[in-house]
Amino acid sequence: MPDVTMPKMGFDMQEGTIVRWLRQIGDEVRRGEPIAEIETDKVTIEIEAFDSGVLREIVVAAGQTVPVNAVIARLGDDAPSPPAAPAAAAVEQPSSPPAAPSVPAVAVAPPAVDDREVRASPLARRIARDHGLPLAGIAGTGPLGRVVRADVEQALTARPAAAPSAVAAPTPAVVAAPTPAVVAAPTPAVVAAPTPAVAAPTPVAASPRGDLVPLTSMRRTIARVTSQSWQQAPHFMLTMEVDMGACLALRGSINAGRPREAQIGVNDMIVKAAARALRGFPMLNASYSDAGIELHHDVNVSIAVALDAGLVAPVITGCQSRSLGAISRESKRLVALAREGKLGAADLQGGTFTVSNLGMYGVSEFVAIITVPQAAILAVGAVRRVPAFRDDSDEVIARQVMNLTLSADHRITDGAEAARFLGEVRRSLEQPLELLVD
Amino acid sequence: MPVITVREALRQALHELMQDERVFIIGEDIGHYGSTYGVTAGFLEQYGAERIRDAPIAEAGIVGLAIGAALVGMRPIAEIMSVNFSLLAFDQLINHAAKIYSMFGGQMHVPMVLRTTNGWTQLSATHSQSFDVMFAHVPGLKVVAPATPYDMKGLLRASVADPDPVIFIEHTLMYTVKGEVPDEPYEVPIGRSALVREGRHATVVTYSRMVHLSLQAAEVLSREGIEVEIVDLRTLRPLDMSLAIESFKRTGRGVVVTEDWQSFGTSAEIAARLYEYGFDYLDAPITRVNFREVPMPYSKNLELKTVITVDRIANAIRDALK
Repeated sequence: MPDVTMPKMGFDMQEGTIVRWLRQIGDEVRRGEPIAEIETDKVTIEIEAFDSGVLREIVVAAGQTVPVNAVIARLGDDAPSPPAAPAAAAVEQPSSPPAAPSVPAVAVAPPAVDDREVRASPLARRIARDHGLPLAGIAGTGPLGRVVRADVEQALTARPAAAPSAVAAPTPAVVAAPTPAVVAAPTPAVVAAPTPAVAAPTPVAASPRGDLVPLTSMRRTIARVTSQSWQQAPHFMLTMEVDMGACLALRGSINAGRPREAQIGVNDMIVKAAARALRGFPMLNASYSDAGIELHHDVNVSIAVALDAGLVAPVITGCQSRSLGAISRESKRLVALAREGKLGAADLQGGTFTVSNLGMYGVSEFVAIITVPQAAILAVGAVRRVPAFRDDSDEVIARQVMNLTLSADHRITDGAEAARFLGEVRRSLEQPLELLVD
Repeated sequence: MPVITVREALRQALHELMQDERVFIIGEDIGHYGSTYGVTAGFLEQYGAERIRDAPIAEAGIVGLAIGAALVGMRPIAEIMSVNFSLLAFDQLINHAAKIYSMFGGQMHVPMVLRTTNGWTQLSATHSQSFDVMFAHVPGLKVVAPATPYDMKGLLRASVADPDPVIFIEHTLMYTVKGEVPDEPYEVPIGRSALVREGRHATVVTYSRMVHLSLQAAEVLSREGIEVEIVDLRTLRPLDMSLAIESFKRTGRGVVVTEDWQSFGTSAEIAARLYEYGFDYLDAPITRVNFREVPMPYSKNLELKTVITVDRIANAIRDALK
């Protein structure tokens, strides 16, 4: 019987989660047909059968995570023999899987992970049980990802900080606080939060205080990447106000004659302005390493896209030579794929600078965390109508302004350089015809 | 304390034991030839042909005679020069020596000792085997396999003093191993293991010659920052796992080193006990180091690929720590 295995969908993919099975036991599957939807830490994607046959056995149920190359299903020849011992998971599948899900696939919550399904040594299990620590969230460093004593002990050490938000989260202060607040006063908030798991050796999942939501691959990746960045890259932040009047006027006149699907967005203009400015500031289009600072030839701008289940940042490559229209088209394509959960690994690699925009949520300004090894990230606030003095008199007029906050890695660049870069972004947004000439 | 070889320790024990009139020694070439490994050299001259009896090449006869003598109150020490030859005496050992006490309602004991050797070194397939597991499998036998001169002397005395048949397993490659041994008589009790090295990262459970190789592997690993604890079982039946399990509960990682084939071997029983009694402390699968599962090759190169080396033990410990 040919085995269906967890495919490797990118050079650094190590494990994947079955989001759902698109075929049921007993279904005939042809080579090349989609058979399941899987989620890696970067992307949700349909996988195709490499052989034809009848789906005989589903080895890995939806919601479970297995390493690359693990057998996830078995195909048999097409003789209509009764299916061998259908896995419980197969029974739970909907009888007619929709061909193209309209809901982002990543939003499908996997069932809560039972500790018994986590590969762990009996010793690790016992220590975790004694401390009321769920095994599900612990990354195993033993062979085949087995959770061993050292992993549990490390998780216990790390827990005082992690427990309040990850487990019970009864204190919205910790969860809802924007990054600066956490930075300014991390200890009081965290220490004040009760850590029920430590005190009571009962499983957290059964606690009356709340529900335990298992980490998705995406959540896990965001957690790892952001904390790594926050801990390793010394961030400094600069905020600058931009007069968006001319930019919005130009956008209005461009879009007046264009079909809806081809309209230029404010964000496209900001990406274009940033890409233009980056050509003159190589240190902001660079990566830090102990060996030296790598200056990237291409300007590849990652755009942060919010999803129900988290966040992805697909990459618009080669922005240094893309027109505003080309940037806009590529951006639309990537956002659409992101919302469908269908970004490929290639769409997510190679970013050299990130633009993150929360303006549509009414946020006037915010601080973003750098996507290491990038040098900086530009946080874009909402365009607001404010009273302002005219430049040459005391007359008060209405202006449309927007705050840009740049977070930059101090290992690579310094305040003055970053300020000049930000000033250049502002200049081309305030004189937006420049965005059209190259 | 004097430092002497295993051979000398055994000779001391036998001389002391010969002071007891009930004790006699029987085996092939133990008299005029002084025994294959020289343990009883000079005994014939000192104690006479009635108590140092050269036997014909008839292993079943040697053991049968020893059983009979034991039943009527003697303390026979039978020697079978290589454990490979004991196969010819298995019926006597298993169906008679091991059963008489139970089958006759406890009326009679069989206080005999069978001294024999494991070992290899280009002795080829039929003369390089180890049957520890076959003896240790059988209720009614006691099986002792010491590693040091001190334990050799103390356990041989305890074996002869024991009321039941004892298989006393030596090793051809251990007769020159040296260690401290007191001049005066003493016994090491049967059925007690010993902690021979302290460490905190992994527990090595072993016995006989493998104790020495495991100690060498431990020294190698110590330079890498790995400290292993080593338990010498000393006796296989009755098997004392208390120290091994206690140690395993501290380390969570176990390695079993036994010089026999792996499948259904002594290491399987030892590992099973660790799993049973240490389950909640298990942090990784227990690894085992044994002979490669082939009849022992005569060729030196192939033989060295088949037997256990210090490197193989060190690697198994590293594996157990992954």
